[in-house]
Amino acid sequence: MLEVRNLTVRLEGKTILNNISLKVIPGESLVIAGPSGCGKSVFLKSILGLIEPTGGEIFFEGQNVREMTPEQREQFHQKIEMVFQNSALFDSMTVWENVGFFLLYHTHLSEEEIRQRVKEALKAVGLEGIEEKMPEQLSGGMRKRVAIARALISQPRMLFYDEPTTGLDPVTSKHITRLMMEIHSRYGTTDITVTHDVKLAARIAQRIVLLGNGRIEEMGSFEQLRLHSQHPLIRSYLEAFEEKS
Amino acid sequence: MKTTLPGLMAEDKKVSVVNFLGSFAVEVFRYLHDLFLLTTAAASGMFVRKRRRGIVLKYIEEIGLGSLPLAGIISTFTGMVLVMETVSELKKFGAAMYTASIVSVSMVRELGPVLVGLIVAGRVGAAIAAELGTMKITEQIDALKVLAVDPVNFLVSPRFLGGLVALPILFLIAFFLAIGGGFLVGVHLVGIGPGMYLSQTFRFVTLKDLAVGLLKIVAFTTIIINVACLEGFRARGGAEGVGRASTSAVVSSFFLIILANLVITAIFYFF
Repeated sequence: MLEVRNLTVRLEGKTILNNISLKVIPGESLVIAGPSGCGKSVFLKSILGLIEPTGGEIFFEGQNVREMTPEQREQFHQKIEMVFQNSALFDSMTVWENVGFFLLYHTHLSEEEIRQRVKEALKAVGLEGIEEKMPEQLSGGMRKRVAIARALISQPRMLFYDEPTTGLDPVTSKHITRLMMEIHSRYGTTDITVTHDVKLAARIAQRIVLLGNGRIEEMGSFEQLRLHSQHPLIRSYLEAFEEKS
Repeated sequence: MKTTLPGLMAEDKKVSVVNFLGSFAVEVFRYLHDLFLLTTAAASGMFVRKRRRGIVLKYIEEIGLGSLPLAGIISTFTGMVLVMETVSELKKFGAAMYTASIVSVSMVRELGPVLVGLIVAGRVGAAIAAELGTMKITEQIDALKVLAVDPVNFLVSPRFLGGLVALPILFLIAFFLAIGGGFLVGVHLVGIGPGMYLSQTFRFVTLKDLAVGLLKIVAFTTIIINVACLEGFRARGGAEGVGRASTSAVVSSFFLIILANLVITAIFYFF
């Protein structure tokens, strides 16, 4: 579905990602973990073209993303959506305009139809009756749910989550984790989640990729890494996880 | 003890000055290049049909109507001041009746567009840069791209179109208010007859003068909107970055407006 070959990103003279190669299997839930500043978010943003890679190739459904025409790129963006770390809701728009943004901009559906679809998307993330609120009136957890609803409305094949539980209290983090699992199983999306929340990784990941020094340092399921990895970062993550558990 | 030869120090200074000037020139060239690319993309984006309903009207209101009180007051007062300053000099030559002509010609060709341009650059340019800068820093612009929306078409083109409609109208209103302010002073304080004042006002204003004024205001609008948007897009580093973007938008717009005014005036002076 998605394949990254020798992806290299240099920003301001510093190598952030160095020859990363990775294949994402359709329907899997992949977690990218690693210390702060190791390039986890840069990896997602490079795939989406938000950061221009220095080298390497990205293939989505057999097409080279870096060689796409503007029209192909528009279609590509309709198939992959992203939930940003700080939700990135449009603060000059109401919740319904935020969630319905894709439909308002890309379809000829009537306002009534879009409002109905927005209502359904909000219901799917456990929110109702907040359509007319502005983003600033919402709590962190609600904003995250609205961002997930906005990502879902275009029925994407892939969902990227950038630190979905960062800055949330433990109860809200748990709700968001459960919501992500529900969405994954209900809509059959292929998910890539960037996080350093070990609990979240343990619950949602079918495969974990550990990034460090711009490279993939370890890769495997949570159980495989728990049992076999001697990587100091994995060990410290696991220790923290066991302490919390 | 370490000693430095005076000749070598002077050589080092020369090299560092050349380096500084070289990198400054490269920066300026890059900035103008980015500004040109943004302007052409925003101009072509004006013809894209996908647009939020009523958004251009909203920007016409924000840019034009919002700037009207300030532009109106400043233009009226400028018209009054111009009459007072000009009449005292022209009286020495017995040419006080030409005061109105000088005021109207200078307002339509020079002061009107520059005043309106600088007012809007200060008021609207800073606000646009701050808004887009905040959107950039909070990843809202990235969110637009992920939702398959071109940020230039969505954020810059409607503002550019709104500005191109609003500013020429604002300029014409400011021109008439300046004439009105000048009329009040000219008739009631200086003692020029109302009929004489009005006939002198429009006696020397030609269509070419009006065209020059309108051309200038269109050029200034292009500068104000695109510089502000470019500064917003380049913002980085949190609240401080947004502040820097606003300041840069105003400073760069002011400089480019004055420069563009000089170039356009020179073109019409020589050709």
